[in-house]
Amino acid sequence: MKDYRQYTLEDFLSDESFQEYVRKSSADAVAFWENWKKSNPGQLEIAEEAERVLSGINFQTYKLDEYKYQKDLHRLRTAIQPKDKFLTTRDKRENVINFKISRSALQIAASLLLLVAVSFIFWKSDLLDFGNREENLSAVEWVEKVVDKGEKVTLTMKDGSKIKLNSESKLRFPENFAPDKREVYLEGEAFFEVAKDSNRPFTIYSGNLSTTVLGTAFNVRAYSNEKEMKVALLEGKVKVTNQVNAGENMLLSPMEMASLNKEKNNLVKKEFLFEDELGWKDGLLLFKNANFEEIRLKLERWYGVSFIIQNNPKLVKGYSGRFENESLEEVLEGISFTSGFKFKMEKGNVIIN
Amino acid sequence: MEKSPRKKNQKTLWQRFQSGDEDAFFEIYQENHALLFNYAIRLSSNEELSRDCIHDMYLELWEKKGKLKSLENFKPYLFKFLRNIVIDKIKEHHKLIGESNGKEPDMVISHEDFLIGKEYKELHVQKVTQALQSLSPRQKEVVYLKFYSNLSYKEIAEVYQINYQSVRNLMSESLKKMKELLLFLVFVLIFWC
Repeated sequence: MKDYRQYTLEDFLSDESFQEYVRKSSADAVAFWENWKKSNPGQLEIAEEAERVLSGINFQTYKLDEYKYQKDLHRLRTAIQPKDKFLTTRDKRENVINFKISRSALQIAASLLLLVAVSFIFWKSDLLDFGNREENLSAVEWVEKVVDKGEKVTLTMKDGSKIKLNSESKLRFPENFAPDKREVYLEGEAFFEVAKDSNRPFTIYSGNLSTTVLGTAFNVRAYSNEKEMKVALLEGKVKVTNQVNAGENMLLSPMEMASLNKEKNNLVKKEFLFEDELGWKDGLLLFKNANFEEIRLKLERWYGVSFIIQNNPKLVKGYSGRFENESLEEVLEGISFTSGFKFKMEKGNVIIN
Repeated sequence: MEKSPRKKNQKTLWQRFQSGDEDAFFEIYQENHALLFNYAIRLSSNEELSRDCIHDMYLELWEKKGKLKSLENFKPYLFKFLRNIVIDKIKEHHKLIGESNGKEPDMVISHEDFLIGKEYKELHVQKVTQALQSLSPRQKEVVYLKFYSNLSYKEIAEVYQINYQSVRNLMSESLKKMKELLLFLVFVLIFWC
């Protein structure tokens, strides 16, 4: 038995049983120390000082979003399944193709393949009707275009369709479309001008949403970190399908928008203003009653910068404003003036103080 | 002691996992997720990276489940394993962005972990920050593992593969450095109310 009467402050501090008493993590320790304090009034002062020190340590907890947690669990569950259950003809054949590529490209190819395989597994379990699609894709070579923050890219497909990709977006499409259909996969946001071909429907898969058209112009917004996915139609007709809620679908007419809320998981038809949904493709940066967090996210994505926030500005009311093809500095000057905060630019970072 | 039934559960849970029981595997995952995620994020300050590390760790555990030692208490093993993965990933990450430092990861512990409200003045914040900076990375981790993760000295010793007495010494030094700061804060708080 230790002689606690000889204990210094440091001894109390580093005594595990005493720590348990202070943090109430063991009933035994609590009982013991409460009793001990009563019978050793001479040590009371020093023990209580140690108590105060120990109870001042309170680490904050980081909470992972429930959605992300579930996603990670799902990812792990999928990853530990026996491999051949998921490797389909397509993956195998891609394997073969990639092996023909020169040795130097092998490493890149391997990681790409992994990426394709991983996302494929995800889709497979997420999408109910994927089974039918996959077989026809088997001989297709896929191309992936990734657009970073601060960039926008316009692609022209072999069928003449034009796709303008917004910042932080990714498009996966086949080198050559199949004879009976045109399919692409989108993460992020893009404006599509689909060349008319009534024999080959054009389908965009984005998260849980698929959009099928024959020939038309419309916008798809499906960033994985946003609650809503939106398809806004400019001309023609499109069919939007919710892949999770089996077969729930909706036909859109020009100037109508379908919105899928990830939490409620249902499709809703809305009207939209052209510049709200499509302004981005013409360089229009728009804020509507935005709080600081929205402003930050939008500017980071649009200009490819990072914000360093030393002092979170409090916007009295939401910020509204529009900027057409303006530089980051001009935009920040405008917002900070109205909203009353100061900023500095340093090495591609925006510092708010 | 009250701990023993839990210990026994831990042992059988690990055995079930080792024999390929998926439910046991995910029970381990779920039970320890909050603690391990917080540990990884403290080490890396990067949520994505932390999630990847946890994924990689469990995947590797599952793949070599048959070859693992049977463990009475697997918690320190998970912390140790995760720590190694986080360190490797951080190195990789640094290489990728072109800067490398061979240093140990330095936990981010901020004054917010010690203050109760935002009513503190700049001076107090500075003082806390100073005291925290005087701790070595290892000292910070020990304090964290003890007071946030609730690991025992013995368990912490297993995480770092050092002996029990070294952990006690590390802790004692850390708390000595933090003592004045913590007492000072209590003092401020009393006079604030």
